[in-house]
Amino acid sequence: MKSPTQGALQQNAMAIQQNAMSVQQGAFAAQQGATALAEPERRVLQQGVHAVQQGIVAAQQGAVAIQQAAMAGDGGEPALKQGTVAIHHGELAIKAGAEAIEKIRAGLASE
Amino acid sequence: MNMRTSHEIVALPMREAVAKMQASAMDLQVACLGIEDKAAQRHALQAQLSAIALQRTAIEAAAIAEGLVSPEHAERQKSEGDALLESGDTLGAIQRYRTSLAARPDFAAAEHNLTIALLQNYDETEAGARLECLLERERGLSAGKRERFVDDGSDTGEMIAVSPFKLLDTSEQIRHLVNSKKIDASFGELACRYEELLNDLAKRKNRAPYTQLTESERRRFSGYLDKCIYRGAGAALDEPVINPDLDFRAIEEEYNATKMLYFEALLTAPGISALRTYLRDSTIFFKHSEARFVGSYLMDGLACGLVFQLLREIRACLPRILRDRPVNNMWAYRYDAAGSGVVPHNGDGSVTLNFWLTPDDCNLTSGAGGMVMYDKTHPPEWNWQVTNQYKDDTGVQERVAAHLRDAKETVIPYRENRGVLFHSTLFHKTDPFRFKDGFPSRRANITILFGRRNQEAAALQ
Repeated sequence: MKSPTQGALQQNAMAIQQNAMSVQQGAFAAQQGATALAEPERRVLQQGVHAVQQGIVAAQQGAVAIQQAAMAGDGGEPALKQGTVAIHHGELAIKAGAEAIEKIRAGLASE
Repeated sequence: MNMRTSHEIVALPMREAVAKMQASAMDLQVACLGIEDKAAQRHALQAQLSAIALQRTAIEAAAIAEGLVSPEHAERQKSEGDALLESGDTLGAIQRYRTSLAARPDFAAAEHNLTIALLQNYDETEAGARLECLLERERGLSAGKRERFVDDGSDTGEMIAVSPFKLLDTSEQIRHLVNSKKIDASFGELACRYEELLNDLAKRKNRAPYTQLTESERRRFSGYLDKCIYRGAGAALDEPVINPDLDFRAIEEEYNATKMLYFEALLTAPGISALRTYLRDSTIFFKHSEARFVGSYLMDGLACGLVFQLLREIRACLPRILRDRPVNNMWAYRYDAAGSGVVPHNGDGSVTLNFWLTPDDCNLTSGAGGMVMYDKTHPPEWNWQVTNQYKDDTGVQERVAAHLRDAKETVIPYRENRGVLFHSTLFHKTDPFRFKDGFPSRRANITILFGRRNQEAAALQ
């Protein structure tokens, strides 16, 4: 049986991924919308998408670790810790990527 | 207006493809949450891990196409990863190593350190897969050369040093594999080459320790030196490897009080039998010592399903000792019939577990032949690398002997399947031993280091 903490972490990981997917779609739209982005905006946007995608993978890895922890019962503490930290890292990467993307989008909108 | 660059045209669809993979992976995650059956859950988690691995590969490929990473970055990213790993930030280190490998996929040192970081992050699935790839790349033979001894006089061009016991052990192991029909009879000729070189070394006066082979000497081995000729299955068992009847709570309490203890029957009968078979059959003992023993480490092929099962079980059995102390190194040693083994030294970890595999009836000195523990640790003001990497140096040995002069010695006699658990920084050495001569009777042990040395220092403070 999953503990409430594990359930909450799992939900958190899913929510982080959902939000990141929307950020990602926004970045793609910006890239498609601007026929060709000049440097350094193009690179910043690419780096943003890269960070977001890496963050999503980290959050997924964290969610898997938490499921493994739930299966392992008392011996699952390392996996639970690993999962929590991975989700946190994923969240930070997505946040950094999202900020970079938002700056470019705001710049494009004002042109 | 700028024109779209070619890599942008390629990279954007790649990024969009990754986004689709990620959406599918999320669907998979949601579906997996509803599974109740344990076996089905395990399969579902495996599917999720495969999906994650695919995404990582695609993300790395897109980053290269976009020029976000370049081969010049590989070395710098690896160095940053090393520094993060040293500071304890394993996730940060993993990220750096991944970027390094994305820029230079054949960067063996980055891949090696990534597997260490993955093990420290308890990600045994990816670490295991990468260790298999490393082994194949560094020690693998072509299918034709594995099938039979191909005496083509080839040379890999790598510098190779040998010591007498390494040559003896390898020839004996090849003969054992030929006799048990695990490898083709033609490999008997390869065993002869090892024996010829061993006889040749014995005749040399003033032979330099760890003798470097010349190119013509290496060509006599046709590219088989330091390669993995045969490897047992080493599959995980359907039953426990660690003896579930041990009183682990009592072990934990005694360890916390004394920092050193030993106990019997660590492994189950099927567990010890499977480990013995794996080590006897697998030609993975690439490290060797002039003190007449050979060694195999996780990176050399020691890592296998059986070993990962052992690691998982011991961690689950001793949570109060091994919490936050992932495996950081592990090795198996096999010794000549008689000797003194390893001189006083410390382990580069927090907690050490050592156990012996060879049946008791091979030990000719009952009550001896195990190890000696001292009640003194490595002085913090000494340079740990010097004490341990140069432990065979006369000056280092004299200094250590002076340090241990007033230390209390505990002799732990050899016993098959006896586990010795101790703080890694306590000095210890091999107790002189004498075993029956011959390959199947050789004294063999496994040592596992958990956690980090500085963790240990903090714990002792």
